[in-house]
Amino acid sequence: VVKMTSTLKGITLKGSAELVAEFFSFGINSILYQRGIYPPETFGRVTHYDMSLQLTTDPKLKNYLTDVVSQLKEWLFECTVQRLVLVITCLETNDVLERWQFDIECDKSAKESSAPREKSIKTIQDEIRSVIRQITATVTFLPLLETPCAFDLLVYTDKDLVVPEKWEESGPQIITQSEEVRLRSFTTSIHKVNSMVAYKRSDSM
Amino acid sequence: RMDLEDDTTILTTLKSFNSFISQSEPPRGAILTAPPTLQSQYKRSFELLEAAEKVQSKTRFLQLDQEKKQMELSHKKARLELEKAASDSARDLEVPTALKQKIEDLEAERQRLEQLNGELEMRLEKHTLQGDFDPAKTRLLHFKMNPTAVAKQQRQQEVDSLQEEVTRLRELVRVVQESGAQDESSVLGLSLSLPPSKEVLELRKQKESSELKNQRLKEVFQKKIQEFRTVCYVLTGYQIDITTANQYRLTSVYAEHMDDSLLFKKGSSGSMQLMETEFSKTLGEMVSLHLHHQKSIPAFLSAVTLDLFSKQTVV
Repeated sequence: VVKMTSTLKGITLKGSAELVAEFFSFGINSILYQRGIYPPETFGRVTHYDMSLQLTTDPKLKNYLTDVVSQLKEWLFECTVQRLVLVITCLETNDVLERWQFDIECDKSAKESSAPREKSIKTIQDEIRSVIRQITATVTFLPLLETPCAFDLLVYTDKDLVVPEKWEESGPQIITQSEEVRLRSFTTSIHKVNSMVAYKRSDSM
Repeated sequence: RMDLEDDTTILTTLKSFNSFISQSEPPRGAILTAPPTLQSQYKRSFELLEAAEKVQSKTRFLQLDQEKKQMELSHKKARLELEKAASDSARDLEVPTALKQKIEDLEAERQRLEQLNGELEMRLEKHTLQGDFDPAKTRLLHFKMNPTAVAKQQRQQEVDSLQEEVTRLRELVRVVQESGAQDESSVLGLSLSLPPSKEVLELRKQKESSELKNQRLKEVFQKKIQEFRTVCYVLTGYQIDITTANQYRLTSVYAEHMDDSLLFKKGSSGSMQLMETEFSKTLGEMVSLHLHHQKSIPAFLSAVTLDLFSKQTVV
Protein backbone atom coordinates (compact mmCIF):
# COMPACT_ATOMS: atom_id res chain seq x y z
CA VAL A 1 0.00 0.00 0.00
CA VAL A 2 2.81 2.34 0.95
CA LYS A 3 4.56 1.83 -2.37
CA MET A 4 1.47 2.82 -4.31
CA THR A 5 1.04 6.18 -2.64
CA SER A 6 4.62 7.29 -2.49
CA THR A 7 6.90 7.72 -5.40
CA LEU A 8 10.54 6.87 -5.66
CA LYS A 9 11.30 10.57 -5.50
CA GLY A 10 9.98 11.04 -2.01
CA ILE A 11 7.06 10.82 0.32
CA THR A 12 3.57 12.34 0.36
CA LEU A 13 1.36 13.12 3.34
CA LYS A 14 -0.70 10.01 2.67
CA GLY A 15 2.37 7.81 2.35
CA SER A 16 3.78 9.30 5.53
CA ALA A 17 0.55 8.63 7.46
CA GLU A 18 0.61 5.02 6.25
CA LEU A 19 4.25 4.52 7.19
CA VAL A 20 3.75 5.94 10.67
CA ALA A 21 0.56 3.92 11.26
CA GLU A 22 2.40 0.80 10.15
CA PHE A 23 5.21 1.60 12.57
CA PHE A 24 2.67 1.84 15.38
CA SER A 25 1.13 -1.49 14.43
CA PHE A 26 4.49 -3.29 14.52
CA GLY A 27 5.73 -1.29 17.51
CA ILE A 28 2.67 -2.06 19.64
CA ASN A 29 2.82 -5.76 18.73
CA SER A 30 6.51 -5.82 19.66
CA ILE A 31 5.88 -4.23 23.04
CA LEU A 32 2.97 -6.58 23.83
CA TYR A 33 5.13 -9.56 22.92
CA GLN A 34 8.27 -8.35 24.68
CA ARG A 35 6.45 -7.37 27.86
CA GLY A 36 4.46 -10.60 27.99
CA ILE A 37 1.07 -8.89 28.08
CA TYR A 38 -0.21 -11.77 25.91
CA PRO A 39 1.17 -15.33 25.87
CA PRO A 40 4.01 -15.82 23.36
CA GLU A 41 2.16 -18.68 21.65
CA THR A 42 -0.51 -16.19 20.50
CA PHE A 43 2.06 -14.46 18.27
CA GLY A 44 3.37 -15.35 14.85
CA ARG A 45 6.68 -14.43 13.28
CA VAL A 46 6.78 -12.14 10.24
CA THR A 47 9.56 -10.33 8.42
CA HIS A 48 9.32 -6.58 7.97
CA TYR A 49 11.83 -3.70 7.86
CA ASP A 50 14.33 -6.47 7.06
CA MET A 51 13.92 -7.85 10.54
CA SER A 52 11.98 -10.57 12.28
CA LEU A 53 8.90 -9.31 14.13
CA GLN A 54 6.08 -10.82 16.18
CA LEU A 55 2.44 -10.18 15.26
CA THR A 56 -0.54 -11.23 17.34
CA THR A 57 -2.82 -13.98 16.10
CA ASP A 58 -5.42 -13.37 18.85
CA PRO A 59 -8.56 -12.39 16.90
CA LYS A 60 -9.91 -9.99 19.53
CA LEU A 61 -6.61 -8.20 19.90
CA LYS A 62 -6.18 -8.08 16.13
CA ASN A 63 -9.59 -6.42 15.73
CA TYR A 64 -8.88 -3.87 18.41
CA LEU A 65 -5.49 -2.95 16.94
CA THR A 66 -6.95 -2.67 13.44
CA ASP A 67 -9.69 -0.35 14.74
CA VAL A 68 -7.26 1.91 16.56
CA VAL A 69 -4.53 1.99 13.94
CA SER A 70 -6.90 2.72 11.05
CA GLN A 71 -8.40 5.62 13.00
CA LEU A 72 -4.90 6.77 13.85
CA LYS A 73 -3.94 6.71 10.20
CA GLU A 74 -6.84 9.06 9.45
CA TRP A 75 -5.72 11.46 12.16
CA LEU A 76 -2.13 11.28 10.92
CA PHE A 77 -3.36 12.21 7.46
CA GLU A 78 -5.33 15.14 8.93
CA CYS A 79 -2.31 16.12 11.06
CA THR A 80 -4.53 16.26 14.17
CA VAL A 81 -2.76 13.67 16.32
CA GLN A 82 -0.13 14.78 18.82
CA ARG A 83 0.74 11.66 20.75
CA LEU A 84 0.06 7.94 21.11
CA VAL A 85 0.56 6.20 24.44
CA LEU A 86 0.53 2.49 25.26
CA VAL A 87 -0.41 2.19 28.93
CA ILE A 88 0.24 -1.03 30.86
CA THR A 89 -1.90 -1.42 33.98
CA CYS A 90 -1.69 -3.99 36.75
CA LEU A 91 -5.12 -5.60 37.02
CA GLU A 92 -4.76 -6.46 40.70
CA THR A 93 -3.93 -2.98 41.97
CA ASN A 94 -5.04 -0.84 38.99
CA ASP A 95 -1.60 0.81 39.14
CA VAL A 96 -0.14 2.05 35.88
CA LEU A 97 3.24 0.29 35.56
CA GLU A 98 4.46 1.39 32.13
CA ARG A 99 3.75 4.11 29.60
CA TRP A 100 5.19 3.89 26.13
CA GLN A 101 4.82 7.36 24.71
CA PHE A 102 5.19 8.37 21.08
CA ASP A 103 5.08 12.13 20.52
CA ILE A 104 4.09 13.02 16.99
CA GLU A 105 5.07 16.31 15.38
CA CYS A 106 3.03 16.90 12.23
CA ASP A 107 4.23 19.35 9.62
CA LYS A 108 0.83 20.85 8.83
CA SER A 109 2.17 22.65 5.79
CA ALA A 110 2.14 19.25 4.07
CA LYS A 111 -1.66 19.58 3.95
CA GLU A 112 -1.39 22.59 1.64
CA SER A 113 1.30 21.44 -0.74
CA SER A 114 0.96 17.97 -2.21
CA ALA A 115 4.52 17.92 -3.54
CA PRO A 116 6.34 14.86 -2.19
CA ARG A 117 9.16 15.42 0.28
CA GLU A 118 12.62 14.29 -0.61
CA LYS A 119 13.19 11.41 1.74
CA SER A 120 13.31 7.83 0.57
CA ILE A 121 11.15 5.15 2.13
CA LYS A 122 14.26 3.07 2.58
CA THR A 123 15.86 5.75 4.76
CA ILE A 124 12.68 6.14 6.81
CA GLN A 125 12.34 2.40 7.30
CA ASP A 126 15.95 2.19 8.42
CA GLU A 127 15.20 4.79 11.08
CA ILE A 128 12.04 2.91 12.13
CA ARG A 129 14.02 -0.31 12.42
CA SER A 130 16.43 1.35 14.89
CA VAL A 131 13.49 2.48 17.02
CA ILE A 132 11.96 -1.01 17.11
CA ARG A 133 15.37 -2.51 17.91
CA GLN A 134 15.64 -0.13 20.82
CA ILE A 135 12.16 -1.06 22.05
CA THR A 136 13.25 -4.71 22.03
CA ALA A 137 16.43 -3.82 23.91
CA THR A 138 14.57 -2.03 26.73
CA VAL A 139 13.51 -5.39 28.15
CA THR A 140 16.96 -5.55 29.71
CA PHE A 141 16.35 -2.65 32.07
CA LEU A 142 12.57 -2.57 32.54
CA PRO A 143 11.27 -4.16 35.76
CA LEU A 144 9.66 -7.57 35.31
CA LEU A 145 5.85 -7.49 35.10
CA GLU A 146 4.97 -10.10 37.67
CA THR A 147 1.24 -9.55 37.99
CA PRO A 148 -1.47 -9.97 35.35
CA CYS A 149 -1.53 -6.80 33.26
CA ALA A 150 -3.66 -5.28 30.52
CA PHE A 151 -2.94 -2.47 28.10
CA ASP A 152 -4.74 0.51 26.64
CA LEU A 153 -3.90 2.93 23.84
CA LEU A 154 -4.37 6.65 24.47
CA VAL A 155 -4.37 9.16 21.64
CA TYR A 156 -3.69 12.85 22.26
CA THR A 157 -5.35 14.89 19.51
CA ASP A 158 -6.05 18.50 18.63
CA LYS A 159 -8.78 20.05 20.74
CA ASP A 160 -11.17 20.86 17.88
CA LEU A 161 -11.39 17.24 16.70
CA VAL A 162 -14.75 15.45 16.64
CA VAL A 163 -14.72 12.39 18.92
CA PRO A 164 -15.54 9.27 16.84
CA GLU A 165 -18.40 7.05 17.94
CA LYS A 166 -16.41 4.19 19.48
CA TRP A 167 -14.05 6.56 21.27
CA GLU A 168 -14.28 8.52 24.49
CA GLU A 169 -12.21 10.94 26.53
CA SER A 170 -9.70 9.49 28.97
CA GLY A 171 -7.31 10.63 31.68
CA PRO A 172 -3.57 10.63 30.96
CA GLN A 173 -3.04 7.64 33.31
CA ILE A 174 0.24 8.97 34.67
CA ILE A 175 2.55 6.77 36.73
CA THR A 176 3.23 7.86 40.27
CA GLN A 177 6.98 7.82 40.93
CA SER A 178 8.31 6.99 37.50
CA GLU A 179 11.62 6.76 35.73
CA GLU A 180 11.68 8.00 32.16
CA VAL A 181 13.93 7.01 29.30
CA ARG A 182 13.99 8.71 25.93
CA LEU A 183 14.36 6.39 22.98
CA ARG A 184 15.34 7.12 19.39
CA SER A 185 13.14 9.13 17.08
CA PHE A 186 12.44 8.95 13.38
CA THR A 187 10.95 11.30 10.84
CA THR A 188 9.28 10.93 7.49
CA SER A 189 9.97 14.66 7.02
CA ILE A 190 6.20 15.19 7.48
CA HIS A 191 5.64 13.28 10.71
CA LYS A 192 8.32 13.15 13.37
CA VAL A 193 7.91 10.50 16.07
CA ASN A 194 9.77 10.82 19.38
CA SER A 195 9.65 7.64 21.44
CA MET A 196 10.05 7.28 25.18
CA VAL A 197 9.13 4.94 27.98
CA ALA A 198 8.20 5.75 31.58
CA TYR A 199 8.00 2.98 34.16
CA LYS A 200 7.14 2.73 37.81
CA ARG A 201 10.25 2.68 39.96
CA SER A 202 10.62 -0.85 41.25
CA ASP A 203 11.25 0.36 44.82
CA SER A 204 7.81 2.01 44.77
CA MET A 205 5.92 -1.12 43.77
CA ARG B 1 22.60 91.13 67.88
CA MET B 2 25.56 93.08 66.54
CA ASP B 3 23.24 95.35 64.57
CA LEU B 4 21.13 96.10 67.58
CA GLU B 5 24.23 96.91 69.64
CA ASP B 6 25.48 99.19 66.90
CA ASP B 7 22.12 100.92 66.68
CA THR B 8 22.21 101.43 70.43
CA THR B 9 25.68 102.97 70.16
CA ILE B 10 24.50 105.36 67.45
CA LEU B 11 21.42 106.24 69.42
CA THR B 12 23.41 106.93 72.57
CA THR B 13 25.82 109.12 70.64
CA LEU B 14 22.98 110.99 68.99
CA LYS B 15 21.26 111.49 72.35
CA SER B 16 24.36 112.86 73.96
CA PHE B 17 24.87 115.10 70.94
CA ASN B 18 21.31 116.34 71.22
CA SER B 19 21.55 117.00 74.90
CA PHE B 20 24.77 118.83 74.27
CA ILE B 21 23.06 121.15 71.76
CA SER B 22 20.09 121.74 74.03
CA GLN B 23 22.49 122.62 76.82
CA SER B 24 24.18 125.18 74.62
CA GLU B 25 20.94 127.10 74.38
CA PRO B 26 20.87 129.53 77.23
CA PRO B 27 17.93 129.34 79.44
CA ARG B 28 15.42 132.16 78.85
CA GLY B 29 16.21 134.00 81.96
CA ALA B 30 19.95 133.40 81.85
CA ILE B 31 20.74 134.81 78.38
CA LEU B 32 21.59 138.19 79.46
CA THR B 33 22.80 137.30 82.86
CA ALA B 34 25.76 135.19 81.68
CA PRO B 35 27.00 135.99 78.16
CA PRO B 36 29.18 133.23 76.66
CA THR B 37 32.79 133.92 76.30
CA LEU B 38 34.64 133.39 72.93
CA GLN B 39 36.88 130.86 74.50
CA SER B 40 34.07 128.84 75.76
CA GLN B 41 32.27 129.19 72.43
CA TYR B 42 35.37 127.90 70.60
CA LYS B 43 35.78 125.15 73.05
CA ARG B 44 32.15 124.36 72.54
CA SER B 45 32.39 124.21 68.73
CA PHE B 46 35.50 122.10 68.96
CA GLU B 47 33.70 119.69 71.17
CA LEU B 48 30.79 119.67 68.72
CA LEU B 49 33.09 118.95 65.82
CA GLU B 50 34.73 116.23 67.75
CA ALA B 51 31.39 114.67 68.55
CA ALA B 52 30.28 114.98 64.96
CA GLU B 53 33.45 113.32 63.81
CA LYS B 54 32.88 110.58 66.30
CA VAL B 55 29.41 109.98 64.89
CA GLN B 56 30.75 110.08 61.35
CA SER B 57 33.48 107.63 62.05
CA LYS B 58 31.03 105.46 63.86
CA THR B 59 28.68 105.59 60.90
CA ARG B 60 31.52 104.80 58.52
CA PHE B 61 32.50 101.87 60.68
CA LEU B 62 28.97 100.67 60.66
CA GLN B 63 28.84 101.05 56.91
CA LEU B 64 32.07 99.13 56.51
CA ASP B 65 30.85 96.52 58.87
CA GLN B 66 27.68 96.15 56.88
CA GLU B 67 29.61 95.93 53.68
CA LYS B 68 31.84 93.35 55.24
CA LYS B 69 28.84 91.41 56.38
CA GLN B 70 27.31 91.62 52.96
CA MET B 71 30.52 90.41 51.46
CA GLU B 72 30.64 87.62 53.92
CA LEU B 73 27.09 86.77 53.08
CA SER B 74 27.79 86.76 49.39
CA HIS B 75 30.87 84.66 50.10
CA LYS B 76 28.77 82.33 52.05
CA LYS B 77 26.25 82.21 49.25
CA ALA B 78 28.99 81.65 46.71
CA ARG B 79 30.46 78.93 48.84
CA LEU B 80 27.12 77.29 49.21
CA GLU B 81 26.64 77.59 45.51
CA LEU B 82 30.03 76.04 44.94
CA GLU B 83 29.37 73.36 47.44
CA LYS B 84 26.06 72.66 45.81
CA ALA B 85 27.68 72.60 42.43
CA ALA B 86 30.43 70.42 43.80
CA SER B 87 27.98 68.04 45.33
CA ASP B 88 25.97 68.11 42.13
CA SER B 89 29.01 67.32 40.11
CA ALA B 90 29.94 64.69 42.65
CA ARG B 91 26.54 63.17 42.13
CA ASP B 92 27.15 63.31 38.44
CA LEU B 93 30.34 61.42 38.99
CA GLU B 94 28.49 58.80 41.03
CA VAL B 95 26.08 57.98 38.23
CA PRO B 96 28.38 55.51 36.45
CA THR B 97 28.93 53.66 39.73
CA ALA B 98 25.19 53.37 40.24
CA LEU B 99 24.82 52.13 36.72
CA LYS B 100 27.53 49.61 37.30
CA GLN B 101 25.69 48.33 40.36
CA LYS B 102 22.51 48.19 38.40
CA ILE B 103 24.21 46.23 35.65
CA GLU B 104 25.56 43.79 38.21
CA ASP B 105 22.14 43.40 39.77
CA LEU B 106 20.56 42.82 36.43
CA GLU B 107 23.24 40.36 35.50
CA ALA B 108 22.62 38.42 38.71
CA GLU B 109 18.90 38.54 38.06
CA ARG B 110 19.44 37.36 34.50
CA GLN B 111 21.50 34.43 35.74
CA ARG B 112 18.89 33.57 38.31
CA LEU B 113 16.16 33.67 35.67
CA GLU B 114 18.25 31.63 33.28
CA GLN B 115 18.71 28.98 35.94
CA LEU B 116 15.02 29.09 36.79
CA ASN B 117 14.19 28.80 33.12
CA GLY B 118 16.46 25.79 32.86
CA GLU B 119 14.76 24.19 35.85
CA LEU B 120 11.33 24.92 34.46
CA GLU B 121 12.30 23.51 31.09
CA MET B 122 13.54 20.37 32.80
CA ARG B 123 10.33 20.10 34.74
CA LEU B 124 8.31 20.67 31.61
CA GLU B 125 10.34 17.99 29.86
CA LYS B 126 9.73 15.63 32.78
CA HIS B 127 6.03 16.39 32.73
CA THR B 128 5.96 15.80 28.99
CA LEU B 129 7.79 12.52 29.44
CA GLN B 130 5.30 11.53 32.11
CA GLY B 131 2.39 12.24 29.80
CA ASP B 132 1.10 15.60 30.96
CA PHE B 133 -0.66 17.83 28.46
CA ASP B 134 -2.34 21.18 28.05
CA PRO B 135 -6.11 20.58 28.15
CA ALA B 136 -6.66 23.91 26.40
CA LYS B 137 -4.93 22.63 23.27
CA THR B 138 -5.21 18.87 23.49
CA ARG B 139 -7.92 16.26 23.80
CA LEU B 140 -7.12 12.83 25.16
CA LEU B 141 -9.07 9.91 23.66
CA HIS B 142 -9.11 6.14 23.85
CA PHE B 143 -11.17 3.33 22.37
CA LYS B 144 -14.10 2.52 24.66
CA MET B 145 -13.70 -1.25 24.37
CA ASN B 146 -9.98 -1.30 25.04
CA PRO B 147 -8.28 -4.41 26.49
CA THR B 148 -7.84 -2.86 29.93
CA ALA B 149 -11.50 -1.87 30.14
CA VAL B 150 -12.54 -5.34 29.00
CA ALA B 151 -10.22 -7.07 31.48
CA LYS B 152 -11.42 -4.86 34.32
CA GLN B 153 -15.02 -5.58 33.37
CA GLN B 154 -14.36 -9.33 33.43
CA ARG B 155 -12.68 -9.10 36.81
CA GLN B 156 -15.61 -7.11 38.11
CA GLN B 157 -18.02 -9.75 36.89
CA GLU B 158 -15.99 -12.44 38.62
CA VAL B 159 -15.97 -10.46 41.83
CA ASP B 160 -19.72 -9.90 41.55
CA SER B 161 -20.50 -13.57 41.05
CA LEU B 162 -18.20 -14.55 43.91
CA GLN B 163 -19.85 -12.02 46.14
CA GLU B 164 -23.23 -13.38 45.16
CA GLU B 165 -22.08 -16.87 46.06
CA VAL B 166 -20.70 -15.67 49.38
CA THR B 167 -24.03 -14.06 50.18
CA ARG B 168 -25.88 -17.23 49.24
CA LEU B 169 -23.59 -19.39 51.37
CA ARG B 170 -23.80 -17.03 54.33
CA GLU B 171 -27.57 -17.23 54.12
CA LEU B 172 -27.37 -21.01 54.02
CA VAL B 173 -25.11 -21.09 57.08
CA ARG B 174 -27.54 -18.82 58.88
CA VAL B 175 -30.47 -21.08 58.05
CA VAL B 176 -28.54 -24.14 59.21
CA GLN B 177 -27.59 -22.47 62.47
CA GLU B 178 -31.13 -21.29 63.10
CA SER B 179 -32.58 -24.74 62.47
CA GLY B 180 -30.95 -25.69 65.78
CA ALA B 181 -28.27 -27.90 64.39
CA GLN B 182 -25.89 -27.54 67.29
CA ASP B 183 -23.54 -30.46 66.95
CA GLU B 184 -21.03 -30.64 64.18
CA SER B 185 -22.11 -33.92 62.69
CA SER B 186 -25.58 -32.76 61.84
CA VAL B 187 -24.16 -29.57 60.30
CA LEU B 188 -21.78 -31.77 58.36
CA GLY B 189 -24.64 -33.97 57.31
CA LEU B 190 -26.56 -31.01 56.09
CA SER B 191 -23.60 -29.55 54.27
CA LEU B 192 -23.13 -32.92 52.55
CA SER B 193 -26.69 -32.79 51.40
CA LEU B 194 -25.93 -29.47 49.69
CA PRO B 195 -25.92 -29.66 45.94
CA PRO B 196 -22.31 -30.40 44.99
CA SER B 197 -20.47 -27.71 43.06
CA LYS B 198 -20.07 -27.91 39.32
CA GLU B 199 -16.44 -28.82 39.70
CA VAL B 200 -17.18 -31.72 41.99
CA LEU B 201 -19.81 -33.02 39.59
CA GLU B 202 -17.40 -32.74 36.74
CA LEU B 203 -14.66 -34.59 38.62
CA ARG B 204 -17.06 -37.30 39.69
CA LYS B 205 -18.10 -37.85 36.12
CA GLN B 206 -14.50 -38.01 35.04
CA LYS B 207 -13.71 -40.54 37.74
CA GLU B 208 -16.62 -42.78 36.72
CA SER B 209 -15.65 -42.75 33.12
CA SER B 210 -12.00 -43.53 33.83
CA GLU B 211 -12.98 -46.36 36.18
CA LEU B 212 -15.15 -47.83 33.48
CA LYS B 213 -12.33 -47.54 31.01
CA ASN B 214 -9.98 -49.21 33.43
CA GLN B 215 -12.40 -52.08 33.97
CA ARG B 216 -12.75 -52.63 30.27
CA LEU B 217 -9.00 -52.59 29.77
CA LYS B 218 -8.60 -55.14 32.56
CA GLU B 219 -11.11 -57.43 30.92
CA VAL B 220 -9.40 -57.11 27.58
CA PHE B 221 -6.00 -57.79 29.10
CA GLN B 222 -7.32 -60.82 30.94
CA LYS B 223 -8.73 -62.20 27.78
CA LYS B 224 -5.55 -61.53 25.82
CA ILE B 225 -3.35 -63.01 28.50
CA GLN B 226 -5.46 -66.14 28.55
CA GLU B 227 -5.35 -66.39 24.82
CA PHE B 228 -1.59 -65.96 24.81
CA ARG B 229 -1.02 -68.60 27.46
CA THR B 230 -3.22 -71.07 25.65
CA VAL B 231 -1.39 -70.45 22.41
CA CYS B 232 1.98 -70.85 24.13
CA TYR B 233 0.79 -74.08 25.72
CA VAL B 234 -0.55 -75.49 22.48
CA LEU B 235 2.41 -74.43 20.36
CA THR B 236 5.36 -75.11 22.72
CA GLY B 237 3.82 -77.81 24.85
CA TYR B 238 4.56 -75.98 28.06
CA GLN B 239 2.29 -74.22 30.45
CA ILE B 240 4.13 -71.23 31.89
CA ASP B 241 3.18 -69.86 35.30
CA ILE B 242 4.72 -67.08 37.25
CA THR B 243 5.26 -68.31 40.79
CA THR B 244 6.93 -65.37 42.43
CA ALA B 245 8.69 -62.40 40.95
CA ASN B 246 11.17 -63.45 38.27
CA GLN B 247 10.42 -67.15 38.74
CA TYR B 248 8.69 -69.17 36.06
CA ARG B 249 7.33 -72.63 36.31
CA LEU B 250 7.08 -74.72 33.16
CA THR B 251 4.86 -77.76 33.07
CA SER B 252 4.96 -79.97 30.00
CA VAL B 253 1.79 -81.11 28.31
CA TYR B 254 3.30 -84.60 28.32
CA ALA B 255 4.28 -84.61 32.00
CA GLU B 256 3.83 -87.96 33.69
CA HIS B 257 2.88 -86.35 36.99
CA MET B 258 0.97 -83.17 37.72
CA ASP B 259 3.85 -81.67 39.70
CA ASP B 260 6.63 -82.61 37.31
CA SER B 261 7.70 -79.13 36.53
CA LEU B 262 10.80 -77.09 35.71
CA LEU B 263 11.60 -73.89 37.57
CA PHE B 264 13.52 -71.05 35.92
CA LYS B 265 14.78 -67.95 37.58
CA LYS B 266 15.59 -64.75 35.74
CA GLY B 267 18.85 -63.12 36.78
CA SER B 268 19.43 -59.39 36.97
CA SER B 269 21.11 -59.44 33.55
CA GLY B 270 18.06 -61.13 32.02
CA SER B 271 19.65 -64.59 31.75
CA MET B 272 17.55 -67.64 32.77
CA GLN B 273 18.78 -70.24 35.21
CA LEU B 274 17.27 -73.62 35.86
CA MET B 275 16.45 -74.20 39.50
CA GLU B 276 16.57 -77.60 41.07
CA THR B 277 13.23 -79.44 41.40
CA GLU B 278 12.41 -83.09 41.98
CA PHE B 279 11.74 -83.40 38.28
CA SER B 280 14.92 -81.62 37.18
CA LYS B 281 17.00 -84.02 39.22
CA THR B 282 15.86 -86.80 36.88
CA LEU B 283 17.16 -84.94 33.84
CA GLY B 284 20.88 -84.86 34.66
CA GLU B 285 22.04 -85.95 31.23
CA MET B 286 19.95 -83.44 29.31
CA VAL B 287 20.90 -80.62 31.70
CA SER B 288 24.53 -81.39 31.22
CA LEU B 289 24.31 -81.63 27.43
CA HIS B 290 21.92 -78.82 26.50
CA LEU B 291 22.36 -76.35 29.28
CA HIS B 292 25.95 -76.73 30.38
CA HIS B 293 27.44 -77.73 27.10
CA GLN B 294 25.24 -76.26 24.38
CA LYS B 295 23.92 -73.43 26.54
CA SER B 296 20.49 -73.63 24.91
CA ILE B 297 17.32 -73.57 26.97
CA PRO B 298 15.06 -74.14 23.91
CA ALA B 299 17.11 -77.25 22.98
CA PHE B 300 16.85 -78.47 26.57
CA LEU B 301 13.09 -77.89 26.67
CA SER B 302 12.63 -79.59 23.30
CA ALA B 303 14.67 -82.55 24.44
CA VAL B 304 12.51 -82.84 27.57
CA THR B 305 9.38 -82.62 25.44
CA LEU B 306 10.61 -85.31 23.06
CA ASP B 307 11.67 -87.50 25.96
CA LEU B 308 8.29 -87.21 27.72
CA PHE B 309 6.43 -87.61 24.45
CA SER B 310 8.32 -90.77 23.55
CA LYS B 311 7.60 -92.19 27.01
CA GLN B 312 3.91 -91.47 26.56
CA THR B 313 3.62 -92.98 23.12
CA VAL B 314 5.48 -96.05 24.27
CA VAL B 315 2.80 -96.58 26.87
